[in-house]
Amino acid sequence: MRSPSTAIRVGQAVAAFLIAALLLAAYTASDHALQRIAFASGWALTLALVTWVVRSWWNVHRSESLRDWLAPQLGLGFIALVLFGVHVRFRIPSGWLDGMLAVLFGLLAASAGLGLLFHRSLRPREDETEAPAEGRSPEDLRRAHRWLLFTIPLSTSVVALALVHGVLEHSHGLLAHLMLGK
Amino acid sequence: MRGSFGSRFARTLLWLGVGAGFATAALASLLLGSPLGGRIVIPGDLTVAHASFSEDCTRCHAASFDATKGVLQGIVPSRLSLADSRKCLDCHSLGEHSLEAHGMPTALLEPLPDVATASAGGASNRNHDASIFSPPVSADGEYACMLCHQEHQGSVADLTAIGDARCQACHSHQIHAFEDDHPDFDRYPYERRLRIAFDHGSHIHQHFLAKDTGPPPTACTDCHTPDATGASMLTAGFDEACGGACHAREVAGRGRVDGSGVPFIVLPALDTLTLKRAGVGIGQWPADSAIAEGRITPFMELLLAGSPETAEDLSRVKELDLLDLRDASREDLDAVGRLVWAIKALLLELSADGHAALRERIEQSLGKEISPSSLASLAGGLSPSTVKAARMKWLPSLDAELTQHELGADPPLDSMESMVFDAGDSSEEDWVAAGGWYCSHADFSLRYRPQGHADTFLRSWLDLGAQVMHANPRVTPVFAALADSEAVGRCMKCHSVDAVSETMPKLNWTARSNHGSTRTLVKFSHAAHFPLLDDRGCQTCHRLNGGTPHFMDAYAQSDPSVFSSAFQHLGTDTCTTCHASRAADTRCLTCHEYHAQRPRTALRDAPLRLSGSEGEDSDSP
Repeated sequence: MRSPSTAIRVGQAVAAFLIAALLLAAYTASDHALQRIAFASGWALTLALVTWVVRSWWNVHRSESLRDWLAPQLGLGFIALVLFGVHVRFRIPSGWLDGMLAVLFGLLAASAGLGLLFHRSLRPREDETEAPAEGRSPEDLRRAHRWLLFTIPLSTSVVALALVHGVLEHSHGLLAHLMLGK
Repeated sequence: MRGSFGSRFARTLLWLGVGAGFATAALASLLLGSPLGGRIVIPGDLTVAHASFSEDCTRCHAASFDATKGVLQGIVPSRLSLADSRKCLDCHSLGEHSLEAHGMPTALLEPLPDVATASAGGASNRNHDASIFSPPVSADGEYACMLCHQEHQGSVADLTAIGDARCQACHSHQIHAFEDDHPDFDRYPYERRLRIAFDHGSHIHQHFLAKDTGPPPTACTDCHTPDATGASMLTAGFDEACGGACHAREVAGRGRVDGSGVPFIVLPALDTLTLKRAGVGIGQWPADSAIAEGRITPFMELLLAGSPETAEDLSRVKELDLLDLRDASREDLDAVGRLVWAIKALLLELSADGHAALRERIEQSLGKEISPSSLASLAGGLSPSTVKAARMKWLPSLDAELTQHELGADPPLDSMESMVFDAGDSSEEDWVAAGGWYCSHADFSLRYRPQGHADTFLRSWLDLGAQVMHANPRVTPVFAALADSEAVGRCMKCHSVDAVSETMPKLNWTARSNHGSTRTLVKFSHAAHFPLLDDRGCQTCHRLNGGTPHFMDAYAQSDPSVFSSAFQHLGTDTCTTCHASRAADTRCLTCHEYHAQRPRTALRDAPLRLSGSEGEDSDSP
């Protein structure tokens, strides 16, 4: 018999896949309609990343099962990955700033991959079969903290650079018009 | 214990995260503010063709007020991308309707049944960003270039590589596979009658088999060869394909019922007896002209009509039989008299002032300036000696008579019966066997004999007629006379005339349309398909219809779309033998062009700075 937390995790994974599929369908439809959704997908990606960072930080000292905490985090990361693909139209950016962002995002995705491995290495605890876990093993916690020490600064860097990129992308016309008159 | 550690760790993470974020933003800002900033801000390398613009954003990005919408770009409606597109047009000229779909007037496309934006409600449906799932089109029906051509994708990106999905954004008829879903061709590739009225069927089945026309062609390539690109098949010229024993004599004019040459000036046959009895003084007028039964030519009508009085006399005289004026009124006879003096003045002017007189009279009559090059063609090399010879022989006292006439003392009619005209002399005509001007003394006419195919005199008069007659009907008789399929030169026997507009006919001088910058939306490369031909050669695809008895009927009217083709129309099945999934290419742009206008690179300002001109910087002291 599956524990309630397992059912929730499966539901979360299904939801993440459904959202990703919807995003891809919207991208395909808009692309076929000659529309560009870089603006929407870019800011949605930034929002997803901010949520990811805040949730990562917020849950550090929460006494939840690591598996329960990591599962939605990975789902969010998966959605962010799809959003990134949509944003760059599944092409490798060639600009310096865009390229740097892509590299940093790639590193973040790789760290998320490590997180996935970490998640799979977490053994279900006996108490999960009866009730949500209230504790974490010191070993798991240390591994989680090491991962977060790498991931949080990296993800905030990505968010910061994404904000610079977004503001620059959408306001350089304003700045040029006001400051240079062209 | 765990909670305390967790809090400490959370604080550490917070500071690390915030610090990393701020450090990254600060570093990025520093770099953007540095000399490298301009390079960093570029969202990707430009293609090689545009690489030289990378330091100057304004070459491609407009100084539009829409730019001030800043971070709201993408949220509020904007015409920024259209403003940018106009920058593209600074270099890439695409005609008057550049940004409209296919570069064609929207009104032309709206009736098409499978165009989603049109059928969904036309102009009222057009709102920029009206829906994320409909193509972004402005209220004016304009699309931005970047919808299909996206720059900053790297130096080797192909800006013209457009996927089929782009086409299907507007074309609602979904084509998943060419062989299954593409509509069958409608009359392709014979969508209009041939510009040169050449019946392949009758020539192949009948004329080429005749014994007296020399060796017939043995292959389609005797007349048709691919052009330099291999896309189109060219048609050999008249001399190579049609001349020789077949049609050369027709063009040269020899043996036509109305003499060999085009009558330009003719002394019209007059009822001199009646004029004499009525006391209409017209001076010398050869009585023998009555034998030749010459008539006022359309050219004479045009050259005389510049004077309103003469034009009025011409219209009055047109109603008369000049050879029998017995029933003519006094006014009519006087009009004939005035017209005769006008003809004499014309002949004297032409012999004295030559081409200048010709130009002045044409310009007076048409109310249109004639360029020197046009005049050269319209004059056809008319020499003073030819006109003077005519004048001296036909009307030897012309100069003195006209002086008397101008003084108001018209000399009495002298029918010159004592003079002997060499009526049987045809040597002049033979002398210009290769074409040119000559006097035919037998019928008191100054004639032009075509110099062969593509004679510039005939062509320029026909072109002038086609261009001007909608505005000035005075040239219509000239056009009608030369455009008759039986006229000298027989130009219009083969060269069709299209009624492309209600006013101006289009003369098809070549087998191919001179598209200029326009083209059709369908493209096909003949050369690419040569290896696929079987032993039937071109007839592998171009199959002759069994018989086309009504082929020439299409040329009795002027609508080029009404015709019967000598060849069977091609269907998609001709193509799908190769062009199918997992075989030859089936992408839309394999066979279709998007832009109806051939993109031309517009030459921007190219000033010629003359040495020493005002304002020029000079190194010289």
